[in-house]
Amino acid sequence: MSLTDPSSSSRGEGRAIFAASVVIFAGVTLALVGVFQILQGIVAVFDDDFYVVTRNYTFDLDPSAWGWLHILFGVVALGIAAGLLSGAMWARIAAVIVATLSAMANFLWIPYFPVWAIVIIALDVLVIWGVTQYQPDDVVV
Amino acid sequence: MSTLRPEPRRTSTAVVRLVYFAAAAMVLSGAVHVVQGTAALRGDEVLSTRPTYLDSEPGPFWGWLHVAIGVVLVATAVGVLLGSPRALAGAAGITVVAAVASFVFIPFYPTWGVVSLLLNGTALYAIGTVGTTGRWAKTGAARPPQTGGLPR
Repeated sequence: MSLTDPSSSSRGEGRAIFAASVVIFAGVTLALVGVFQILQGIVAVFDDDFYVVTRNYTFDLDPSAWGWLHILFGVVALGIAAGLLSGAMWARIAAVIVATLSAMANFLWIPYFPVWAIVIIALDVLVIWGVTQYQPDDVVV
Repeated sequence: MSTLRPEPRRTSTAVVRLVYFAAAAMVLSGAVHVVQGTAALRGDEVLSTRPTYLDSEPGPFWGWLHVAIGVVLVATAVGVLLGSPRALAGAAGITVVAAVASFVFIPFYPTWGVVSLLLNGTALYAIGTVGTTGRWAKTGAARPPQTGGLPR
């Protein structure tokens, strides 16, 4: 990563370094979300009995359907995380969208296994924060 | 920051960033409230019914209340993104209402209620920071700040 203006003041450099660190933070956190969600999905697909939910839950899908959904989210999140780390603009927009959808899906997933779902929701919020704090004019990647 | 002197351009840039975050947090919170409301309207069995709490039924009143709160949250988030100062004031109001409703929801389903409460708290933090920083409406949140490289 390099500064847009080589003659920047040290304050400008500090700001660029902060922005760059936020991008890296958001990218790595999103990758973590992806991995967690894939693991959560794999358990749902291969161990149907692991997750127990009250009968007649409004948002009850078959556990393996939920599992594949989580795996899909995880894979997409990993791809977008790679885009974020390479500084792509599309990845910033996609990251906010996929983190929001992932948080919604995991809110629905809370009755199945609350602790994993809450961990992922918290990481999703951190991703949204990180992505929105970074502006492309801060750094050239 | 190595100086105490305010710099308008940098302030507005920082505010624009928080506007985006506030709007995203409100949309997420809105969706969560719609989920809670839908479950209450359907009399979902994941919601516990305590015999002595609010007539023990998370029925139509709480259901429609949460759905309405969710819809207003999302609509207000759009207004905030468009740079309306009234929407920002409304955002603070509806987020507080949503937080209170989340608190009341906790006995029905503690985990949902707590997560929903925390989301509203997060949104309120961002809204409050934007509101107290000022000048944000002139910048126009939906418009990215003027790009001129790094501040000289």
